[in-house]
Amino acid sequence: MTYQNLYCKIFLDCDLEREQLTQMIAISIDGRIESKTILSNYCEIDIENNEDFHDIQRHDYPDGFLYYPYYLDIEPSEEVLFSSYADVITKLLEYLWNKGYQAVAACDFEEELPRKGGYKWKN
Amino acid sequence: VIWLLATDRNVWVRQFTHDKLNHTVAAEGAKSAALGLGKVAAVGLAVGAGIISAPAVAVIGGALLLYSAGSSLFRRSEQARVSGNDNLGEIAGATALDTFGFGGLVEGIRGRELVTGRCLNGNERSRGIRQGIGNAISLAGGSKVFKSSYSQAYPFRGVPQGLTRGQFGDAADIIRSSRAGQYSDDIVVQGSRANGTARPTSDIDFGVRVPEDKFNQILNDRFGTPNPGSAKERTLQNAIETGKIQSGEAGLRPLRRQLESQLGIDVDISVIKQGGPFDQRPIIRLP
Repeated sequence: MTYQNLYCKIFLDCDLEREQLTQMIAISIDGRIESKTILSNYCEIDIENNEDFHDIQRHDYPDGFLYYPYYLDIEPSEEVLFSSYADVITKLLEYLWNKGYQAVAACDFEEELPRKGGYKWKN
Repeated sequence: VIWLLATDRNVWVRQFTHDKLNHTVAAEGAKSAALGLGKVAAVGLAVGAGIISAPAVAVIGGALLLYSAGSSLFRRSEQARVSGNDNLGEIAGATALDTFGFGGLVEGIRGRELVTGRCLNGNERSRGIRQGIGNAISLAGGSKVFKSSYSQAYPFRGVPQGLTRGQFGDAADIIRSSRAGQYSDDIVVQGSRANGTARPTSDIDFGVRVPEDKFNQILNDRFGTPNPGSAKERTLQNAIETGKIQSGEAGLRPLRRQLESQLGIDVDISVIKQGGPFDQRPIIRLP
């Protein structure tokens, strides 16, 4: 299947400082850091503080993800295959889940990601 | 003050149960408070707009406080000399209360002068209490009034806090020549950098203001038709509810990165629906 818009947003609930988080994610996808952006062969990731962060609402099910403290803006690198791009996002989501963090992907290809991106998924 | 009030509780009760005096004191106290807060607001506006600097206000304020303390010390010492009271503690206490505007209030409530012990008549007591109430309200509310008027006046400087005029002009050129400029030419700075309350680590919030039909068009272009029940559909609903499309969804991520590199601070740039929940003032328009 082809998608017109490959932008992907991952909402992330974790208590790390942004610098620590950036380093951790860079290592997980073999990327390098430029300021607060992680660059890899397959994608670019910006780690942003979520201005909608809410300490109580973030625990709501299923829409609390909108209030997690961070979100990741992810876009593919130029000329990258969709399958490679989706593989990196899959790897990243599984890495974050294995670390015990809540993460939800919002994009056109959620259905192709493990746990359908994590939305409405319960342990 | 609490101790002085406690020692003369009966006088205090009589004072405030006297209807006619109460009415006068309340009205005059409110007037005095309004005057005090008005002065604070005027200073806040002047500092916010950059007409006078905060350090200059602090120096002038300190000088006025010193003058108030000095003149009070002189007056209380003179009262003590005439009445033969050589209790330095009482003189110092009265001076301290006067300096912050509460000497008259305590005297009015007690019904006697602090240093001489002279009984005060109704007018003297009323005057002391109303001035004291005015000062107390001004002190209690002054900080909020100052901050509010400062923030409202800050945008008149025309440059966001922490940026030079040149940096702001360069950022404006970059934004107007980007996709954001295609969305709208009504682009503003909002938040702490616009109201002068930013910290060094604060980000700068740019808002691309668009009318409702344009907002809906951008939503349609950028979100398409998400799968029902998906997280993307929920983020679309959230954008509709808040009247805000964040930079990633709006396709402004490269612009945000460029601005961050240019300005050296975190940047947030969003599309804002005119009249929506995020379309808030104060704002500074892009040049």
